[in-house]
Amino acid sequence: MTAEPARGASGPLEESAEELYENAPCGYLSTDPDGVIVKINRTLLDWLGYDRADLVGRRTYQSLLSVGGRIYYETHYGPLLRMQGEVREIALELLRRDGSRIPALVNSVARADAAGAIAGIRTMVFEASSRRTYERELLAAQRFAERSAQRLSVLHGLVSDFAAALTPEDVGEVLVRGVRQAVRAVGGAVWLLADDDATLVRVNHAGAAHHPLLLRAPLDADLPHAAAVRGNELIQLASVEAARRRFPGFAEILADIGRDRALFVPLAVGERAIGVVGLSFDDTGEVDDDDLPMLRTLGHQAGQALERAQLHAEAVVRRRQAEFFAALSRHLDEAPGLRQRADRLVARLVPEIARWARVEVLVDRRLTRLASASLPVADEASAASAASAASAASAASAASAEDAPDASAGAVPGQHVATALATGAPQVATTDVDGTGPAVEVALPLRASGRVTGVLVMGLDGSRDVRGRLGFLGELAESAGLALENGRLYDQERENAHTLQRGLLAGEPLHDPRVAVTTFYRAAGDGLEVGGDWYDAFPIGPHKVALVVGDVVGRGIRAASAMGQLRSAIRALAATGLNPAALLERLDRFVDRFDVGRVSTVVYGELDLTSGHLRFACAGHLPPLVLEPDGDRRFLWGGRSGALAAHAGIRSRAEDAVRLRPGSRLLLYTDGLVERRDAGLEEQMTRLAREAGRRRRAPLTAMLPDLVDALVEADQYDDVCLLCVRFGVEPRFERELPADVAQLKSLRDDFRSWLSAMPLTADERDALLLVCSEATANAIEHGYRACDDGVVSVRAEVVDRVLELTVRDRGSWRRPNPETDRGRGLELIRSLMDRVSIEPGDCATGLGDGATEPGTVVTMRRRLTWKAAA
Amino acid sequence: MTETGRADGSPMMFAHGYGCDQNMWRFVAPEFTDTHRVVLFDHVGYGRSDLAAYSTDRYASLDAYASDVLDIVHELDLWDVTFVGHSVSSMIGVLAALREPDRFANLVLVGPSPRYIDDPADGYVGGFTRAEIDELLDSVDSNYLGWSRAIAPVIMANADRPELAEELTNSFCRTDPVVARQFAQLTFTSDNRADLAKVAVPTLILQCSDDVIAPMSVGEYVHGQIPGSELVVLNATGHCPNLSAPVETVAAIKAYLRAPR
Repeated sequence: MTAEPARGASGPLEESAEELYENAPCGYLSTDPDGVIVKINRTLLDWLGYDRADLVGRRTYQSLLSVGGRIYYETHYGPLLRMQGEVREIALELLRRDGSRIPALVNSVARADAAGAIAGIRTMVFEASSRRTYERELLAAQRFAERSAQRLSVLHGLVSDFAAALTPEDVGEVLVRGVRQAVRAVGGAVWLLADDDATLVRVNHAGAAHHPLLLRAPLDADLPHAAAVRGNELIQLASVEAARRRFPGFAEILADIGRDRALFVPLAVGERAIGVVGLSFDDTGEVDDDDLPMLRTLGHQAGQALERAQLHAEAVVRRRQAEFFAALSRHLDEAPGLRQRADRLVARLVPEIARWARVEVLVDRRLTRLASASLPVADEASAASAASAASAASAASAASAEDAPDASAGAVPGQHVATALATGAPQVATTDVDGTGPAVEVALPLRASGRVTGVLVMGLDGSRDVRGRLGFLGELAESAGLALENGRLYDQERENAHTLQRGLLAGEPLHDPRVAVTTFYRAAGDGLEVGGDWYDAFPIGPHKVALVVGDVVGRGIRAASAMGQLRSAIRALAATGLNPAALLERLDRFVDRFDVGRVSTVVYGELDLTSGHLRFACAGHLPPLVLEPDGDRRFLWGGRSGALAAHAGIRSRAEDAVRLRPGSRLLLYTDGLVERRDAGLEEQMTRLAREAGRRRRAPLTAMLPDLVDALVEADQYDDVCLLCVRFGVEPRFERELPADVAQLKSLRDDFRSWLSAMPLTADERDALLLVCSEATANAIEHGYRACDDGVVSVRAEVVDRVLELTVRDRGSWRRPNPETDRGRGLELIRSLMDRVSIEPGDCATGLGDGATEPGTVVTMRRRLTWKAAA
Repeated sequence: MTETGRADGSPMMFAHGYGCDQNMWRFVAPEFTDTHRVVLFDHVGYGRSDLAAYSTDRYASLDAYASDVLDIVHELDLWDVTFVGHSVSSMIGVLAALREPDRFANLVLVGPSPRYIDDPADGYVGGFTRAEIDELLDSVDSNYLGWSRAIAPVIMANADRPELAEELTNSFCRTDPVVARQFAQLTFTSDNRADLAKVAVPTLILQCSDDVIAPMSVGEYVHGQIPGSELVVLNATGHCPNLSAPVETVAAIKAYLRAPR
């Protein structure tokens, strides 16, 4: 075309305004304020495929817009038009009659009437397909850029999440959550290759189908996730149809849950896939070809993370096992003896590891049950959870699965135990002993020094793979066997030491009415080892007794042996007639020379039975306590010097002397009696004086355990050793005792000792002892029956050869009941005594010295023959 | 934020909906300045609001916008507020009134919709399918005016067009693309149906006769759910009676506020 275009306003191309309007290269449209079309040009009608009559007066401009456009019209276009009178270059899509769309740019101008209100709207429509294409490309480019950035950020995010994932399950969780989100998948799941390298197990999933094939499947299965792992390839199923061609079984599952597409990305380490992440999509999914490289990269990252996590998990299991064994062995070590250890072992195993557990050991070739524990059935649920908590500890094991013996299902009960003992190999039997579902019983041989010494039997949850845990259980039995053997050795040594100590402490009793000696020994609360405390009392000459209490430093068999040597040394030295200070000086030399019992403390005293003179010396020992019959009490602070051979060189020892009044009690003791964690020594000695003073009329042998109970904590860490001497014949026998029949024997001993100073026939003595016992037993019953804190006082005195025995309680006298033995006791008393009187009384408070003493008083008299027994 | 009217008047807050800024109230708000203390504001990202205050995380739910409303209420120490919300701001007002009912005397909801997408599960008709809303969100992408302002000269090769003129054009509805996109998403995909029954503030619902965005059935639904609410159906058509029929809108609000309660 070479012709010049026509210029000017006339010529063939000249158009009428109407012609121009109708056929302009753009669309024109006029509407009323509400959008109802009042005029539209030919161009626009042609574009839209409508006849004029279809639209004018019938349709609104908005109704020609796509839905998005309509909303946009309401929210932006319309408001702008009203606020600024025009809008420009709005991109919209107009709907053709056939439903197809015309991308358009529109400008609109509002026409105002005289009042300024909108009278109509004129709109010009430019067809903008290519602009829209360009725009869409720009938008697509922008979105692509955004997606790339997003992919990168997803990748970065996931990689850092992988770094934080400690277990394969964590990695799976990160994968499912992150990847699903990144590609807008509806469902996601992660499968990992099991230890057998032949099974895929789903470890994590969200929004995925619940089909058994998807939970666990063999690697050679005709399933896309298995194929992805086998070939280490990314498998994309773009439609259910496509899925049906390759994996018909899976296609059905996919269709069942309403998904269109699926994608499987192998999780690879190097060239080998160790798992796979599967994604399923509905039509909102966003995965496209550009995503695939990212997903592939992700699969590699995840593969590495998995491998690391698996190593870590294994390390964690190993560590937990080590911690468990360490904790178990600490726990067992806290108890030294065999039986305690066995108790602790089963208590620890149930329910943490097992439903039930027992320890059986060979004693004289016979199996003896030492300890057992089992779960109450009601606790089964908590046990299950405990068991699963512990399963991490017991899971790792695989190593010994091979040498595991066969499970003897249905075998003779107990057969597996016998076999375990005989073969020294763990045995497994299925059982449901406790009726709470399948269980297996494992018999694990316990060994010591290569011998099978017993068997640890445990009931385990049968639903778990026991064979895989035998390695762990074997280690458990090994450390338990060791701990139990140590417990047994301890018991043996302890028994030896105690035997030795008992032998050393046992002395021949003194048969002299002028003195009564009682001793008491209580081992430390933990009962761990024999201590070095000792007492001794022996005659030196016809009128003297030596009294010793000592404390050797240290414990155990060494201390026991040192104690034995010191005890012998003192006996030997005492026989030479040395006074106490000189005796201790010699003892220093002995200790120094033989290096035995250095820094031991000892108190040594010699009591003259005729005068009550006590000469004593204290080598670093606590002062003896004197209790006078009238209630006075005092510590003997004299005659003190340091502990035995505590310093080099010869040193002189001090001694002191006091005179005891008849009926006095002298208490020697070791520091275990007064040392407490929660109180100072001074405070405790004050308490000792007070508590001992209150018991000065207690029957002698019952006094010491009672005093120890009052002063010493049950878990006392030190041994307590006491020796108490009652000196002289009391002019009047006076005892107060709790209403407890256990006190009767001690009372009888005291009474017999008191009577022995008198010239009585054996019949008389026996009769009086019997009467005292019967009357006191009666009183004790009253105390029990009527009052809470019954105290019985027993008093005996001889005046003009008449013995008067008074038993007083604080209850009301019970009338004799011939139906009971006790009731007959009174008849017995009457038959043995010359006079018996009973003053009944009521419960009363307080039992004062010489104060009015309400309660029942039984007074019995008998004239004595005053003839010594033949 | 713009404050006009009688300082001692009872407070009246106008909140614009998705689309354009507080200019939406240009024909309505002045009618109340004689009697009320009138507070106009732009949601963040719109008009003269501080764009720096916007963060995608914070504005991830309509509650954040309700918090902004309450911030203004606290800042100005407003009590007995008459809150007039258009479109999505109706729901923002509802959320604010649920959190601090004591502060509000009335809610005026202009073209409210608690949920735009139909919910076939329980027969709720919001007016749109999920696909239609997706299309809308698409058209927001291609038409957010901030974006087209920058891109238009390239497309049209009209480099000689003064930027200033372009900027002035459409400025009432201009906003940041990120804000517009997220606000559109929130507006059209939120579901506040459960909140309606809890409203304890007297409520007026203004429903247009022919509103494609909030159809009559939705207005009736809102009326049915908010206890004691009053529904006034305007002759006005479209979704913006505040612009297309300000006189009728003002009259309806005044009548409601005058009525003894």
